[in-house]
Amino acid sequence: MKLFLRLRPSVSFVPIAPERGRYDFFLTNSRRTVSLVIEDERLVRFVLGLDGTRSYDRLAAEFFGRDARGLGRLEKFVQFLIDRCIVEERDTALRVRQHSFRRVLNFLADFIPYYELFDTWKKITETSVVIVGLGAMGSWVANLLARSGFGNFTLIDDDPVEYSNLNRSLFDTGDVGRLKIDVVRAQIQDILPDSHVTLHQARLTPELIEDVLSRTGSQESAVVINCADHPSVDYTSQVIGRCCMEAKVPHVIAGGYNLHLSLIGPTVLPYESACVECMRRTLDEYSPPELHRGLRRLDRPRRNIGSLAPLVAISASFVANEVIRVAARSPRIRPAMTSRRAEYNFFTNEIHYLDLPRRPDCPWCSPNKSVSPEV
Amino acid sequence: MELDPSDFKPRLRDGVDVYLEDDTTIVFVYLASRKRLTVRCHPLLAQALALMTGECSVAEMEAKLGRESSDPLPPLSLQKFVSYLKRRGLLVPSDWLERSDLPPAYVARLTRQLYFLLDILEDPNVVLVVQRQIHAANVVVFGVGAVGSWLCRELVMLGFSRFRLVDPDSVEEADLARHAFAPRQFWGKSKCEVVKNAILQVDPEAVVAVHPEPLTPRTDLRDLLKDADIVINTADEPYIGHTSIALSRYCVRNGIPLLIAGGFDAHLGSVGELIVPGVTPCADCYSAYFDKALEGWKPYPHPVSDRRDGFGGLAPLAAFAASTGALMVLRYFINRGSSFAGGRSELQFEDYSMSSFSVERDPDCVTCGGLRY
Repeated sequence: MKLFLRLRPSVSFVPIAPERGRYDFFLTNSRRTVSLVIEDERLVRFVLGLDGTRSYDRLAAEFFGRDARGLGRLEKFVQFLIDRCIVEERDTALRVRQHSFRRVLNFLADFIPYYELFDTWKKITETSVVIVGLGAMGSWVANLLARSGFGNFTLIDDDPVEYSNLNRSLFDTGDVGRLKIDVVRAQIQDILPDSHVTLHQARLTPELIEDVLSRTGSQESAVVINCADHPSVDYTSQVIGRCCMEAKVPHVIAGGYNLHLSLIGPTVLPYESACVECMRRTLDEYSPPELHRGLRRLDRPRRNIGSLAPLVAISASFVANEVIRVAARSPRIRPAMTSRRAEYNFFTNEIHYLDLPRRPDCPWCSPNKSVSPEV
Repeated sequence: MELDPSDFKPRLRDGVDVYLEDDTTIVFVYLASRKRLTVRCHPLLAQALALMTGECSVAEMEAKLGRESSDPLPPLSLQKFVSYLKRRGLLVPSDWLERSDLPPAYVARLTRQLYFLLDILEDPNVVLVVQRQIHAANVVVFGVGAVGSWLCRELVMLGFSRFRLVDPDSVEEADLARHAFAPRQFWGKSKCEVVKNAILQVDPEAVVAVHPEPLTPRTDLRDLLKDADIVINTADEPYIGHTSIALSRYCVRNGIPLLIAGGFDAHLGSVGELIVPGVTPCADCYSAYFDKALEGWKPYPHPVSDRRDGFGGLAPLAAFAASTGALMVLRYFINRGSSFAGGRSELQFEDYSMSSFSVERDPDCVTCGGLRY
């Protein structure tokens, strides 16, 4: 094999108990450890020779000569190192090094082996990202995704920037009075001048989402993000959930601020993970607190609910991570917020997860035909 | 804010839910802390709650309530009730935001945050004191790269307005992927200048000093930190462990809190750690802890000699690290550090679990061993 391999610069090779053959590879970007037992000491020396300047054949000959069994074992070992993203091929590494988004590519390369890396990257950059609502959450999500290399956006919002948005949304004083869609498009194109940004100065309606999804081309490559909370997150989630189930498009419910907790929303992969309706049903079953039964709640019009930039940004960072994982469309880096949601606690910096599984009685997504579909 | 019955127009705090169990039993639920308070009272007082919207004074409420009632309120009972609710953090004056001496534009921009703080702190006076301290605080930031730039962005959004930025670097193309402010037109410009400009776009009144120079053993910290109320280190060059120890020694001796956040690609998912002198472990304590914990964990020398461009990270992880750091800073200003403990946590990208461990202060620490505040 005329293959030039190198130990990835971000991977540490650590002897744990070499006398017993125990070694770790530590993938520093994603903080993961691959532990293994290496009995043949020549394999250790082979790894330490993976500097990218010598071909596989040359290194193999240097350490294994004509030992056919050893060479066979080496080949399997190297295949393992490639699949586990421990080593990479020199030319791919060079291509990454020269890329504007090398940091993102290097990170993805912790999960995606070098031979799939640029295919995955293409899927990510070409994915059509539909963001519904450009308030605090939407502005953060759009900015984080543009910095992750996404180049194809549809933005839906009908509001201008207001001065009181500036404590939590990514807008500047000079943006006040301009439409949020215009401001966010300029922010995205500042990062990626060649990106394609479609604007809809509109409120969310089922017709609009259906229309947008019918234009995004292959539905395989779209993802919709619900960052809209008007008139309520429940309403917008239902509308987006229904349309996306019908079109089989993955969607992320962005969550938002819930007092001192930052709600981290779920990702829905239609007919694979719990859908919005599955989750609504499960949440409804959580017995309503005994407090609310038989009590009259005092009506409180015009309430001001507080919010805070870092809490929005934390929720948005999870959304952006999820959209990257959905867009990669690889079994190696699956979304991690399917069938659950989470809360980030301001006081303790802890995350609490709540499982919301797929339901056999769901009228939207159950394979059980006796459940009448309403979609 | 004195309770003056003539001009006090009580408003039920927005972060409280109110339930009426029957005519005389009221349940208040504090939404932020999930506390509950049950109060039994005269039925007219329960009815008075619906009038506590910030539009009526106590006297006006009394007049409205008295009109059709056969069982009138005993004298002064409404006033006592209002005082009680105020003490329990359930009522605020309707114009509490206007009473502050902070600049009106600043209050307008931060209204939603002030409501957040009111939920947490329950007392408008305390909220305004905290925000005034934030407004006046001098923040010194070493390193305005991926995590540092987002931190500055969030700190100015939180209302911090006095910054000193220290970073020798210029914005480069690869910063596109993580830095808060790295579009093409900024490539080649000093990161300090770019971040300063961005801070002023959010708060034109902010005061920002820039030092485009590295932190070295020869840096005169006394000069850079002379008025510092809080110091932030995200500088990855030289190695963040070394710069943190240098800063920690100075800050601990001078009683200044120090946030250590991010640092380099591999630490993007980290929750920032705050060093509060005399309360939490200092950087020397952490260093001693890690020397021990990592004893025997020594990677082989890496076969690739130039590894500089081989590391990676994501913008969302940089924003996560910056946000957790910004929350720590805010929490410090809320309670002056009394609730901070030593330790580190890190978000695992794989499954979004947080891996955390705690670190105790080293009683024999050369830097903070003798300190008790």
